[in-house]
Amino acid sequence: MTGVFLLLLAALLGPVPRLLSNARWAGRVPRAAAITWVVYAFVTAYLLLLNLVFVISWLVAGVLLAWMIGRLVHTVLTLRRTQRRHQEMLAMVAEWDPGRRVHVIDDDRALAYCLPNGAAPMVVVTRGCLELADDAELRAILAHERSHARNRHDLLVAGFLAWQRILPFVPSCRLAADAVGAATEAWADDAAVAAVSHDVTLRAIIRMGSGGADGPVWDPDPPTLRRIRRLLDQMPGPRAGHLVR
Amino acid sequence: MVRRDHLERAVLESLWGNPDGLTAPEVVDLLADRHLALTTVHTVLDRLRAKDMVVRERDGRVFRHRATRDREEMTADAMLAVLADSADHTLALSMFVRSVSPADAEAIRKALGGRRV
Repeated sequence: MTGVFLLLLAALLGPVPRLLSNARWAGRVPRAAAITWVVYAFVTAYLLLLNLVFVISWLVAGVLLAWMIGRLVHTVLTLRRTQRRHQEMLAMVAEWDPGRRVHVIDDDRALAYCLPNGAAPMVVVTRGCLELADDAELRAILAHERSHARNRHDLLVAGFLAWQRILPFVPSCRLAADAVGAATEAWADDAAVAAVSHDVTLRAIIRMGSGGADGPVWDPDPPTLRRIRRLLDQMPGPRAGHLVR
Repeated sequence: MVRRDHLERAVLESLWGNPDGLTAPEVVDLLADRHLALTTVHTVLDRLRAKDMVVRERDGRVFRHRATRDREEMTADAMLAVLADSADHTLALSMFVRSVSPADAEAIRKALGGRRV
């Protein structure tokens, strides 16, 4: 379409006025010739404007596309660099626990996570986590993290993170990224429930979140609160009571 | 973890045990039971330097290698990266429960002297 308009404009600026000025009929009907020139002027001006708009919009689209590709490449490279740096450090300080099939970091804080690592994401726990959780809770925690690893939740999360970084000015992109994050957590929680039970999974979340402290000292962040509510909702009513005093 | 990591870890651990630094031949002697060639140790040290885990200084006609961070500092860095990530997911980690708030992570980051993690 743009091509047609550009060709038309080129014709109007080149051969058309030459033909028109050499036309023999112009001498016979000067009034018609004058009107023809006016029409010619208006059409040419209109096409000039139209083509200007086309060129500008193509330029803007091109710049925007280049910017988005740049953001995508930057996001992917940043992700990979951060993950590789972390893997390199783990390779030096973490111990492989062949029994539990997890990498253990020697730190008091109770943490368990799944680290993207090519085709085989790594499950990492801290010594604090192993000390804090009892055997059943640990089974729930590891089932949760292994579900992340087995179902490649890292790809989902990274994909939507990139999507969000490409279009940072579109609120729904952040919404989608957050929702995908929440969905993968709920998905992994279901795996933990299947491996142990609702009770134990809830207990594990609460114990890890509160760091084992007694009393109402833990204020879960909204996503964790939603996970707790979801698990409570799935349980038969009377049994839920003893978990949240 | 692959074999290469084991070797790098053994060399780094020998440097952790010698804060004053080691020359490549000294590393070969310390890891004598592994029967490493000097060139192998040089390669491993180069790789560790590329990862910013080791620095080398000229000492007369030889290079002395030192670990940039000891084991505790590296563990702290790894943990901090995980905790700080709860805000922006750059590591795309899926943490079981985020018990540390971004504000706490910021406090830890400051305590570590703003070191890049």
